[in-house]
Amino acid sequence: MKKFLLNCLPYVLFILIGASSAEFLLRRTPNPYRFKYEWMERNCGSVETLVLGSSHTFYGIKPSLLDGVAFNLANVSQDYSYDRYLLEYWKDRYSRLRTVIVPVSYFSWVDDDIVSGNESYRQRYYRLYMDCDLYPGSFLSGLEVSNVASAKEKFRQVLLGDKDAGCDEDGWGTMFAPAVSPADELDDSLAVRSVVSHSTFSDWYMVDKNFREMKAIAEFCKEHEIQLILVTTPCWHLYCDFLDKRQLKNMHELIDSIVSGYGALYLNYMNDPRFQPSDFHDNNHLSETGAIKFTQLLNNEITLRR
Amino acid sequence: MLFNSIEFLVFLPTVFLLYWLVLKERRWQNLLIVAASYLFYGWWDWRFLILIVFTSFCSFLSGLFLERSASAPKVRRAISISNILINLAILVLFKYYNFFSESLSDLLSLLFDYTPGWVTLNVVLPVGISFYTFQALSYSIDVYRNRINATHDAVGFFAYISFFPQLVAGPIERASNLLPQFQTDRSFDYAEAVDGMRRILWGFFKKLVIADNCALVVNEYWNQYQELPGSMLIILAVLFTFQIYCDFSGYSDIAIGCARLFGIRLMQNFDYPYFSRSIPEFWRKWHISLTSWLRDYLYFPLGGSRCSKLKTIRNVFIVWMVSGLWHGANWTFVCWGLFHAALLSIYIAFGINTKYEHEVGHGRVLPSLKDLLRMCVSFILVAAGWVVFRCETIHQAVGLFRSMFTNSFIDAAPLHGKKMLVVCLLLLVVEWLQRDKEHVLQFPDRKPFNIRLVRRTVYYLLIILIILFIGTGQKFVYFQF
Repeated sequence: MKKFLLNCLPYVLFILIGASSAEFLLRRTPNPYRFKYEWMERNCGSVETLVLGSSHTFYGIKPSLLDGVAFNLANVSQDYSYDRYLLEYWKDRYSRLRTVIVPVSYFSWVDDDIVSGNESYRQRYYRLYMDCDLYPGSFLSGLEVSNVASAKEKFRQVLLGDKDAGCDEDGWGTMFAPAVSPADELDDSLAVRSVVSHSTFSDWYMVDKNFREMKAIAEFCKEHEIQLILVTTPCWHLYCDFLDKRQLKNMHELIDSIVSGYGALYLNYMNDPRFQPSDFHDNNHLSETGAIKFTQLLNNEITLRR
Repeated sequence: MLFNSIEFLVFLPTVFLLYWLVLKERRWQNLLIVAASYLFYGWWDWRFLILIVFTSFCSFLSGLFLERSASAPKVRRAISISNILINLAILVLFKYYNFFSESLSDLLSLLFDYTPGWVTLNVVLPVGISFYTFQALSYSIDVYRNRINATHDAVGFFAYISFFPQLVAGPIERASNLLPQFQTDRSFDYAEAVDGMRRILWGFFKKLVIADNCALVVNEYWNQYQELPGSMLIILAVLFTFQIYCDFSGYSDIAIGCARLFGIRLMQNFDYPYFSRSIPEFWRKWHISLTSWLRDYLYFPLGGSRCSKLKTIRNVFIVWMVSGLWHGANWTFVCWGLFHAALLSIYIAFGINTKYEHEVGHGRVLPSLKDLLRMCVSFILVAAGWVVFRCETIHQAVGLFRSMFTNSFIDAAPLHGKKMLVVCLLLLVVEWLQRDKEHVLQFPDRKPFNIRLVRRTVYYLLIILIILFIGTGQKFVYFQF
């Protein structure tokens, strides 16, 4: 037994030292979660407009094009429970906040990706970098190295000396270029249908939870006299064509109840014909040029409605 | 808990050290196995534990009742049938109810334009239910047939059903092999433990480097078959053939290796199946524990091959339909089973169902041309079967085969997965060289492999390759069964 353990020791040390070094390096890699948390810690008192939500707003709204001091606190797959947590986290330190923008996408009410789906590995980033332990997990599942695919990608970033956090100084996601060959990609009905099907749910068990979180955001805004703006970002027309009518109807009914119950403003750009193929990164995400165009339109609309 | 998770990297050494250094008495070691296995299984969902405890309890009790009613054949028969029915009812409820109710509903709708109002159940399929149910069934059937004695050791029996290395994806062990191992004292064997570690390493390499990287290509392009050239579809079929092999045999290697660390020997589940000269030989080398289970508990009771050729073929079809259904509640699995039944029937009908005494190319460096051709034909047939197995619907399978031959064979777009094909070929070469060994890392006792430095270099290289080329942490394919 002793001989066996001694023989195993070099391999165990090899793996342990490797994993610890990797963890140390990965935690020092710039990332949007840490950047946004640190920015808010420094500037939450001066922020006037906060953008929350998922990749649709993370890559879709460029805060520097909005009036006043604006910051994009959205992250990929961020659901309403994280939106609520982050909004309330600095609640005693906001002094100028007057607008909160929250996306309502086709999947928003039924989304459970970050809770228990493919994106649940992102929970660790909130835990590690944003002081947010909404869905507690084991110590091991909280390590950067425990998600090998993303750890490898980040490790590549370390080796290349890439210091880009993945967002600009206002928190806007900067990794979405226009679709490589927009016409082919956006009109690939098979691929678009597959994307839609991943966001279409027959089981509506998440609706209650997500609606509750949204109501809490709306209540917070009402209580602090902050204008809540719900926004549906542009999607390619083919994506819109494949959406399930029942889910879409349900989405709008829930939006209506927030709008009428809490005085929120809803702006729907889902099937907006002003957006061209080059404005899209893929069928439901805007490219950088699309995001600039969209933010300008959104800013004009908000100014007009004020 | 997945073998390819960081939690398992902590779980396994902890249980191992407790097992050998703290709890040295057999009874306590078995108790630790049960507790660790339930922790391992409950990691997915603690509610799954209710089912496995219930299944274990029923089979344990049925064994005791069978023993007590030794002189009453009718009572014994009733006990045995009751236990089989209870186990199958659980399996059907959780795995097949929705499939059968939907299929019947579709049939009624098609034939009589009537859509029944019954509902499907919203139940989660418990991981590995088919594996441990079959294992529990084998015990009670063997007790009924007086092949083994009923056990009075509840802890040992629960350890037999729930033993974590093979709990969720086999090998499906027999009570006659595994149960006695839990009832005898075990002592630490250095050579066994080292061999276990080697096997675990090789299993992880196959799973994480080969299967997961094949899966990346296969998953990305499989559903786009209508637009892909025929050559790319053939590459996808070959890659899936290697993916499922490395995924499942990789799991079996890790399971067998882990068991050896605890002084337990599990049966071989794979024996280099892609070096088979015929389909019957393939089935003697692939998922051996399931094939032999079906042979002993279904094929032989039906009459096996000790009847007319026609009846033998009928038995083969029944067995393979069950095998298809065992793999999943979908018509694609049934078709896959029937496809293999049809192939086996051809071998039976023409009397070419040869049982080879030795592995292919025994004592030679290269196979004979005849054997090579036979292996190629078997491989192509098996790969065609895997295409049906991988598809979500029969319609998709038909479409994919049609596209393979009607789409242009090559087009301007680059072919994907070529690098993985080369890796798969290298795997075949390594396996060919080691095909007379239990696993690839059983080094021959000659230079340079008898030099410790050489062996260690190979281990470190494999670890580095795993870290560098690890895929995306796909779940094991066979978990769904």
